[in-house]
Amino acid sequence: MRLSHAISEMGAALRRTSRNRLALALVLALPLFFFAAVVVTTPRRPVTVELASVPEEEMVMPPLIPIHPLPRGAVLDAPQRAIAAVFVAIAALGAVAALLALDLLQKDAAATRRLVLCGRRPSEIVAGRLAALSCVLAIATGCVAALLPLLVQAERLGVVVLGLGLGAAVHAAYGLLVGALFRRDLVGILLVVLLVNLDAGWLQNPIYYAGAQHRFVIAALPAHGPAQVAVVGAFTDYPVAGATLLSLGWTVAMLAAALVVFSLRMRVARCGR
Amino acid sequence: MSAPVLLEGRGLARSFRRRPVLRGVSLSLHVGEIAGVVGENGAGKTTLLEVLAGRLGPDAGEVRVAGRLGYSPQQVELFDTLTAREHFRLFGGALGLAGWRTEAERWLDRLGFRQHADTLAREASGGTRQKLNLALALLGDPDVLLLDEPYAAFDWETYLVFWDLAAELRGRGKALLVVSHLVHDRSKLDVLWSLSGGVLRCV
Repeated sequence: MRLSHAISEMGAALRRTSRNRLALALVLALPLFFFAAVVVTTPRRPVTVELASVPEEEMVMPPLIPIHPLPRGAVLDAPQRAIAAVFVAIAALGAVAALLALDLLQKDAAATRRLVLCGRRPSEIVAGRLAALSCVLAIATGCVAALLPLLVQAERLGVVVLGLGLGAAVHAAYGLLVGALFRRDLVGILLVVLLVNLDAGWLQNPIYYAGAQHRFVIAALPAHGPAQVAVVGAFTDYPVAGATLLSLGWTVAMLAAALVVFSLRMRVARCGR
Repeated sequence: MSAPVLLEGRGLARSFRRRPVLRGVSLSLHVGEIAGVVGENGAGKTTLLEVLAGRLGPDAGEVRVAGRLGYSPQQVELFDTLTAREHFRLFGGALGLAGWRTEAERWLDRLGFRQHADTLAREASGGTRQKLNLALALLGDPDVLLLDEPYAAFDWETYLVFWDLAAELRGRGKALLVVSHLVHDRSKLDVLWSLSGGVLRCV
């Protein structure tokens, strides 16, 4: 991979994103909308939840209400609104990240193909666009992190921000993979909305998780790692190394898959000379 | 002795869902030659150019190119939220052109869209978009140009500029393959092929 080509691609991707008014509006509006929904609908009363990534023997305090089925992870009591705000922050950032990534890889695909014919390598395109996306998502994560203290008195804000960043990374990789796999934008948007809603916006909710069955399914989903990092960081001082590694594993695996699929899609037929 | 061959396609075949579009097409383009391809809608002209350009792999046959190839697709293929100048920069970078700025200025003047150099592609007129589409194919002074209906949205003046340019490129030893519908283009071509039923015939 040639660095100058990746940088050139990054510059173009930043210009394209900065001119995409809908995308920029989403970056700001989606987290605000999600947080507003939390404030309006979620009470402050304490609830008991289970921390999937913290072992049971590390129990924080006895639950206020019996949990069925019996938890296998540590439990904690925390205000429902605070818990909801943390997992909703992951969902909002995840949606923004996946949609921006999808847009960068799927939109103007024919022009991208033309660029490959001119000599740009698919790896340079993916690397450059990912770098541009990282810049935008760093700003989006910063905005969400700035809003979060209004709703949560986090035990370790730095770890929560790490969780948010990992959530953005996992979902950006997912968006790139969907963008590489599908040509039609409607299919891509549906797949992004489905995953983010189901995974980050529903199944990773610690309140739901406490009573869920077949939890291995939930733990195997991409948003599990980032959600655990953020929730554990917000309410405890337990280590988050395992959940961080899980998030990075998902990110790397989906990025690699996106690169392979994108390279195959952009393949140029060989000519003799 | 005939001029050296710059582009050669041998026995090119391509099908889509078992529907054969090209059936063993062979052609060669020589130094300083302008060739045209005509055919009905759906005859496979665009498929032929895409195979020659390397965008589509042939099911059978091979393409040999001597030198660099420039390709202007039938449907304008641009980044909607980049300006013309930014396209030159991006594509010039992909081609490894150090002097892309000079070339960009030249094509902006020659094809007459300097006033739209900083307009986003999505906000440009159809004609301007097509001029940029063509200019990107001309970047880097390619030896072979594959042009798929390059002037469909041009005004008459730009259409004439295009043929002046084509003649100039021919004089400099370039080879051009132009997909065309217009009967009066024939006088400007050295060779004219007709594509019908997946077979290429000299007209």
